Amino acid sequence: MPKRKGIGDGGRKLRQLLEEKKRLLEESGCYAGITRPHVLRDDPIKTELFHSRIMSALIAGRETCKLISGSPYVREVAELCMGLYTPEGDNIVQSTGIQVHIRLMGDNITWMIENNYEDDVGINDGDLFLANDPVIAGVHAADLYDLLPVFWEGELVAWVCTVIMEMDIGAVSPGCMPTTAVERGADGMKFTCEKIGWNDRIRRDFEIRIELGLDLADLFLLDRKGAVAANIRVREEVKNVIREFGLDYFKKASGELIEEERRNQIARIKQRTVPGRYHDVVPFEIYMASVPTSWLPAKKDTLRLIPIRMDILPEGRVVLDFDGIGEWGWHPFNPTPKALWGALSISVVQTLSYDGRGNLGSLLPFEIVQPRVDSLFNPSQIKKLATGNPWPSMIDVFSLWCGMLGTSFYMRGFREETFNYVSGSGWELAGYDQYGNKRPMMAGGPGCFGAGATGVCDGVDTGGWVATPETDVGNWEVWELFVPEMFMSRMLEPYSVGYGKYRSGLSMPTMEMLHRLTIGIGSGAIGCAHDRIIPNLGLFGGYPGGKRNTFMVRYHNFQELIDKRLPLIHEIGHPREFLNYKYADILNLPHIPPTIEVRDKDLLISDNGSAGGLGDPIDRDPALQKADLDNSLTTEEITRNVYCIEADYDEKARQWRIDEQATRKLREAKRKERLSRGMPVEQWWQKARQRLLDKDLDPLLTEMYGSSMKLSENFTREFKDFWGLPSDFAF
Amino acid sequence: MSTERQVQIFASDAGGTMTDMMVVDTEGNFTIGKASTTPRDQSLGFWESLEDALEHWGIDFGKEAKNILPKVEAAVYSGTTMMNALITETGRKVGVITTRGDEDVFLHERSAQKWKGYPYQDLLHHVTHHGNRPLVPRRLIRGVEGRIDMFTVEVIPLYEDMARQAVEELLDENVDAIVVSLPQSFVNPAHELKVAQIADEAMGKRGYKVPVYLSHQLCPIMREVGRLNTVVLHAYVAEPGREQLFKIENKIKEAGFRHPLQIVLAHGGLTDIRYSRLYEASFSGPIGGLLGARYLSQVIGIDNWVCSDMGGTSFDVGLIRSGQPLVEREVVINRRMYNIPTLQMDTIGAGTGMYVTIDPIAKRINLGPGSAGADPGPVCYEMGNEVPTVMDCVLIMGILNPDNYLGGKKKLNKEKALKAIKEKCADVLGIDPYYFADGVYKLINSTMREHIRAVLYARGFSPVAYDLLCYGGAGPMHLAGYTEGLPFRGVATMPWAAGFSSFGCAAVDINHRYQKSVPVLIPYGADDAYKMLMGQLLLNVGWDELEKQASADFAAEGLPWEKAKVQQIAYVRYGGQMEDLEVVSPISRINSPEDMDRLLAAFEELYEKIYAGVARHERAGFQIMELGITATLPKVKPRLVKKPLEGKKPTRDALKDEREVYYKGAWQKAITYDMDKLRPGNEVSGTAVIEAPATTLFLPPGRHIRMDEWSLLWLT
Repeated sequence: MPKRKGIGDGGRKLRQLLEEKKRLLEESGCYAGITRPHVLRDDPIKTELFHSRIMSALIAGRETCKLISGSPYVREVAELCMGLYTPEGDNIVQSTGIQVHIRLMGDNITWMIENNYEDDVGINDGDLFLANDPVIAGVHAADLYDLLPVFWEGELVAWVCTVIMEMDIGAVSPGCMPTTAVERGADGMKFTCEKIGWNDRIRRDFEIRIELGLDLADLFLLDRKGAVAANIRVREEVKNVIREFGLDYFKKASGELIEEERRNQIARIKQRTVPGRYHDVVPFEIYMASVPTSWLPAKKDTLRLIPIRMDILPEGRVVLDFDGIGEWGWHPFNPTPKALWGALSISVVQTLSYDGRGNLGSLLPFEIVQPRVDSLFNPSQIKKLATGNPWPSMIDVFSLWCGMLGTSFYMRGFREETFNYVSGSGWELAGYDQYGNKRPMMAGGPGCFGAGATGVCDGVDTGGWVATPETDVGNWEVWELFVPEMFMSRMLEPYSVGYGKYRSGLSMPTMEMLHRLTIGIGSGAIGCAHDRIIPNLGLFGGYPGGKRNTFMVRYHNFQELIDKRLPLIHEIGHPREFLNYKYADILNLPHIPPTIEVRDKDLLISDNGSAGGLGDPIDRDPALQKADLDNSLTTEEITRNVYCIEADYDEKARQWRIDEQATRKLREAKRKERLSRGMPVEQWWQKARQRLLDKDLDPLLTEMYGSSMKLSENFTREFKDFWGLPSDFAF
Repeated sequence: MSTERQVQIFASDAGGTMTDMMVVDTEGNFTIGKASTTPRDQSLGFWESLEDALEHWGIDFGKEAKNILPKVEAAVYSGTTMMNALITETGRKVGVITTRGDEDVFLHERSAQKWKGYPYQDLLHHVTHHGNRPLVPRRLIRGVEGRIDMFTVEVIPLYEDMARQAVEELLDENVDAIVVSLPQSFVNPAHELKVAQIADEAMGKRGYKVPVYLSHQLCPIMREVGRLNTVVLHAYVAEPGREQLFKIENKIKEAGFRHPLQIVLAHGGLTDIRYSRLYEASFSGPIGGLLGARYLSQVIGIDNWVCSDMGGTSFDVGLIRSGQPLVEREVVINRRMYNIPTLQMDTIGAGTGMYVTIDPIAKRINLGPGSAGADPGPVCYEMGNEVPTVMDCVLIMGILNPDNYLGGKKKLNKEKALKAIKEKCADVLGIDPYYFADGVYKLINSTMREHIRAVLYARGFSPVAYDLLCYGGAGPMHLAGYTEGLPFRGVATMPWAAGFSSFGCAAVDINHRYQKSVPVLIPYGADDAYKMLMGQLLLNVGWDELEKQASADFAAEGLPWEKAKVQQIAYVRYGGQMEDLEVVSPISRINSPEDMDRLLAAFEELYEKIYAGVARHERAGFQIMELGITATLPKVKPRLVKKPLEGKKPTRDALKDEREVYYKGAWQKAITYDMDKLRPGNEVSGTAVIEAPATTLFLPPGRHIRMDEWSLLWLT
């Protein structure tokens, strides 16, 4: 065999292949220049056989990983995913699981190629690579990517990747996604596509580094072993596929799977959406003034405006532009431009390309205009910043995007496909656990959020967290093995709902009572960070979801309370009554609280609200509301005040009954009241304009608009045009 | 035939629509009968299927029952009675007492139940996720304050007044039963027992009683959501189902049967219908085939089987490893999660009734996810369905005989199937309908093949160590296709494939299984004293407790405990792992530190066999979170008869006909045979179709089949 120059196709260097693929895409508009895909179309049966072989291998590999893994996030919440990639890092097939990483896993491969790993580091059969640095590719450092090359007769023909979210990466306390980390060093261990083993074995010196570096070293290492074992298993199966179908078919079919999916995605967009320009905007709250951090410039509160513009082009392409976004800051909430693709992926897969063929092609019709340098989504200082918590701003804006897409579906008649979603924060802790070990801790499941209403029915109660379609809250008894806590509530929260003709699903606040914790601190993690501004607006007159709250409850004397059999807190109920609970101090904290001291028997609450409702609440079918009343999913107060439905409880029949006549009257009165409160748009516009001219705004808002204007001339012009402001107007 | 033939065992498999009956005589011969299931009184369907089965032997059961039944040694029931009550939500009115803060448990469903069991497309498609309607309405659930921690310590005392009020309110609602399930009750049941006492007092004052089911007694297993689901299942359908079972028992006892009716449990055990944890019998239907395979292992000495069962809507794959099926402890049935030890069956939607459609955008062939089932059934049934199914494809290919379906009882309309396939699929893709049908046949076979591969590979097993067994009426039609290219040691089916599940039920030993959660932690490098402490305090005490319970149950059922074979089990994992492995303990008690080492070594040996070597991680120490025992007592079983081998050439009467079959892009001549007329030693080569009344075996060109001395048909 002649000596190879490179490990890629035809003995070429991977870098050459990468550049060529980019060029072909640019020139032809088709993936890898495949302008006339035929291999798959010539034999659709063979195509299905080929695809199902790879998909089965990935699903089986993922199961293997789950069986070996040590992380409750894998077992109880299924935070893992596997994918098969081309040599250049393009996703061919993706397993079930968290759908964030379709492109991000591949971006790590691309980065290795661009950084000449082929020659400088070496990429060999059996080499194990590990990555988690969002500066290279990823969302946050807690997501660990295990990457394994697949060789066939000396040629690199594919990569297998697994992603798992870790609970401990050695970050500053709490240890995983700290809100106090504003500088890179505080993020914990970073693996920059590092070779952590060869010959299918993890290096012992790497294991030692982990054992000495992490509190939860065993969990971390078991996850690596699970991922590596799964990758190896898939690699071997890919080789079997090549043996059976031939290398040439494998390569051609892989490319065509991506190109066909690109074309199918375009066809779906054309079928289900209405071309045009869609706008929305969300202000993002960042409260850092009271956060204990040694980098003092970080200690300030700011708001950042995040506009989103979606252009659906008639040819089926979609362009997203965040022009007008405000500046980055010293906080852990700045996403990298690549991370935006992670947020886009989760929405795209679950709204458009859910047929099991999703891959890089699902994303190719989408373009994200590179956010301005120095903006929140593209900080020039990214290499110095911590990147522990970039989800909040992305979830806010992509949830809006999902609503915009839903609006488009609705207009095309796909009403059942319309919805938006929500996410929320949870508590992250550090301290000495029930076994006496100091370590980071996170518990509970993100499955507690309600889903947005659709155009034909109420949103599903809980399970509405779209980051992974397999949302789950797990079992208390399993979580209690891992964290020094007792879980006190899984009650659906009637006030979390986004009201509407169809309401959003109910969310469950999490309530974790610290138990057997000695010396601890708590802080917020992940999710959204809204205290005063509510994102996730409803659609077509539906309300946004309920306000998010984070509470810490410190019982005055827990022992005395239980000795006297007095009531403990298990649900929030009406927010006013909750805050009047007299046996404890209730701290109403920022939604992502900064680090605070926590003690045994403190109750930590994350109340995340839900997604938006759809349609005017006073158009709601009373029968739906009766069912909610019978199931304790709503209150009489909400029923009357929001839905204008008169209902009373029939003691004898033990169920609610609707008074239809009184309901009609209530609704009529509500319509009249609305008219009396309304004013012409012109009049409203004048009043609002005057406030701007008078600078009658909260200083945070003034600074927010000023920050956006500083970065974008377009935004400044549009803002001034809309409000009829003088050309020299400035904040 | 006359009544000289002595019936020894009969075993029923009652499905949603049909009840199969396997009747075995003292010579080991067996016959299969069928009758409609009679949901209101299952004894009628049971009896009629017996009549049907015995008619094949020329016995008029209606007249001869009183002569036959006194001599029968065992009557076994398995079926979907309870499952049907669950699906139709026609169980009892149950009230639930749970811990305060968890009253919405059936509404939030852990979130996971809103997508569990979905096909891939729906799993990813967010708006398809939806909740189950609660079996217990929210107004019949009460929360009571009080908590115990994982270390058995009471952290919040039980608020007894609250418990009293909860009981009174549920009784006011006229519930038929009360379920009590509190967190951590499996480590300390004090609160559940107290609630039971309070309920007892309250009912005493009212002068009537309803049953109270405690989760720690019925299901002392960690994972509270599955535990509560399980106990509710027991109260909701299992106990009412017991009444049906007594009706069957009474009917056959009135006619002279002298033993208790026995029921198959989900983990493959068999027990008297008076068994306390009857919920274990709720899902026994699909596992009959695994039990049959286990029995084959014992009789013919093949230890490792991959069992495959293709039906109208699903394709089930289970494993027999070293002669034993695998057991899983958290199962998803009908979109709910249960802590019920169940023989592991991995199911995908791949059945003959599966719809075949073309994606309007991608022009991709979709198999399923829906299925036409038995009603309206495939297009060829002419019962209203116009969407082609897999069976329609197999029919137009000529594999399936339109005049021999169910022994000719149901005629199939081939022309109608062809028209639907052509118009709805083939024309859309611009290809020939027969070529399309052949493609669908390949696709469904491939889907099943990949499923088998995934089941094996996810657990680290390889086909080279296994023989594959095919059963179920539809399986043999696809057998050659779905095993193609998989390097099994052998591939087998049998003439009685359609009744193999009920055969399996007839072949079960009496077997009880008990499990219990325990918190055993053994750090890396633990010293001998610590190992002894864990072993004696937790493992030995746990096993003692389970054996005590088993012996009490045996006594209650009148079974000789002293003759039972008891096997200890431990579920072991590395410290921090989320999943464990079932380890058959090499020792019955921990009497020395070395005993503990032997148990852990057995785990590591198994672990390394299953996962890659890279996955070992002994430095994390070991955890044992659950213990178990099985107690087995032999019972009479159908006798598989080894018959002398005859010539390779089938007899003339086995030869039926010949017809054209479309396969791999061409029409070819296939010889058809009567499966029931094949003799041991006979061989048939493809292209051939071998027909029996309830099944059809397709043999493609170049493939061969040989009937062995046990009447198994081996495909090569």
